[in-house]
Amino acid sequence: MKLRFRSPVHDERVAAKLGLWLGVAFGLCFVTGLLSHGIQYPPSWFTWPTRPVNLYRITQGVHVISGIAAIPLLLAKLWSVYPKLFGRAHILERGSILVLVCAAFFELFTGLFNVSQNYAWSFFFPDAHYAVAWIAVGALLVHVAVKLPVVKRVLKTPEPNLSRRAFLRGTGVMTGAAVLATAGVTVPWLRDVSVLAWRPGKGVPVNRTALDAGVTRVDPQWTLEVIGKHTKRFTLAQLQAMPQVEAELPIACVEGWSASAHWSGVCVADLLRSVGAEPMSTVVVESLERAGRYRASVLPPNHAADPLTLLALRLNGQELDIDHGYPCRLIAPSRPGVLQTKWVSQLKVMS
Amino acid sequence: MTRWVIGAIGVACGLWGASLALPLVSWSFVTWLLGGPIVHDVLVAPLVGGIGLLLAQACPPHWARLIAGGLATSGILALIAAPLANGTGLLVALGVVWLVVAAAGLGRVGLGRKNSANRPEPAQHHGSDDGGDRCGSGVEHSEHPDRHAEQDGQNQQGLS
Repeated sequence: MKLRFRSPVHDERVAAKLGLWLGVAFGLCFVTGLLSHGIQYPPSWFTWPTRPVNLYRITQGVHVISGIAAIPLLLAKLWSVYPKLFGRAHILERGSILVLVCAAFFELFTGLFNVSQNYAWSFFFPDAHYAVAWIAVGALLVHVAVKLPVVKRVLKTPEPNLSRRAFLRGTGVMTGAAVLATAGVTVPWLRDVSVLAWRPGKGVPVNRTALDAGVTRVDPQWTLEVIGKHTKRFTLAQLQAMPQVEAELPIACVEGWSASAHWSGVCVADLLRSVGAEPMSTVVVESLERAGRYRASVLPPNHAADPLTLLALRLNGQELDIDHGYPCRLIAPSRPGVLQTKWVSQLKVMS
Repeated sequence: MTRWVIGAIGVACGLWGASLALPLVSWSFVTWLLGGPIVHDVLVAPLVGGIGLLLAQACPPHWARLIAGGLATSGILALIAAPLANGTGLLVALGVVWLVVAAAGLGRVGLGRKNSANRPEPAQHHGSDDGGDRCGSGVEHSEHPDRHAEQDGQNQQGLS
């Protein structure tokens, strides 16, 4: 019995074209992922601008959408080269491809499960997703280095084969369908189209509820403590009596979903000035939440000084409800949702 | 030269990633790392090939191609919906996909009648890179149905 792969799509021309598309998707995913990582774990040389206010919303939206697009592209690519699995290849090439495929699957599928909040693993997702991203990109660059002559050759010649063209077109349609079905998590005008969006619906979504955070009841005696050159305490009534700033700002989650909302509250820079601190300072924002990795966040100086960085008291004209961070929460432009600390209890100037 | 530079940067990135990943290694981590390729190579790819082959045998070429596309798209959408456990959304999406498949198929049939022919694909010399001619054994896969018309006979041989 002699069985063969005869389909014309098992061809270097198809593999190279799909590789090119995948390269774009992985490149976008990697760069936007690095940015998101840098914002959350900033090295000393890293700064992230506060304008445009939607900047993080856009980079993280690109991250998840390019990741989704890469799933059909990767499967189509693997199909085009599947016969090579049974052919001969140098052990080094085979090894580098194995690393690439393992890392690519790991990134796309842990990412997909993570946005679905389906944490079917025991490792810490951000660390693993970040580490394997470097492996994926490293293996991808090695693969590009090996295949560059093939890619150059293929891109010079037009594709005469109808089957191959149909396969590429079909892959494009499939990728478009996957993107349309999900991009509404962050693209407002696709909200009603994207039936597989992991954050559908109206209003401002909540990832971590008050119950999750163990903040079920806020003491009526709650005060906000602001520590600068000297320390000051503000009651909710005092905060409400201060000049209120209104701003249209998005909540943009690392999971890619985002929603714009109308916030009003006290400008953080005003609070810092009231305790004799320079607004252009690093500020630690503490929450009433007792435990948990995201109970506090660090505002870098440019965010602390921005006139649109607020301790919000109201959301869309209503007093904040407890799931949105009552009595007050941080909302700053161009910043991951996980760092927009809720149930704020203290602002502490560090520098 | 360019290739060596790209390759060297790649190796450096990969080693950096490996050094970050090393402390994270656990059964769960390794399962996620190896699970994808194993499931794909052992299960998904043969299944896709087999279904493609059946379609090519069972349907006229233009329908086989459309149905193959519809099945592949359905598979991708199901994959995306699975970790979300979003059954309703998936049903709606699949409904749209198969409506499009049906509309495209029927439209093509109508068009075909008007033009009195479906344009046959010109005969091709199939890529020397096909792999099949380099390996003695393997599995016959012909997911691409429009080949059916031109190579039916060879397909039969391949299967025998």
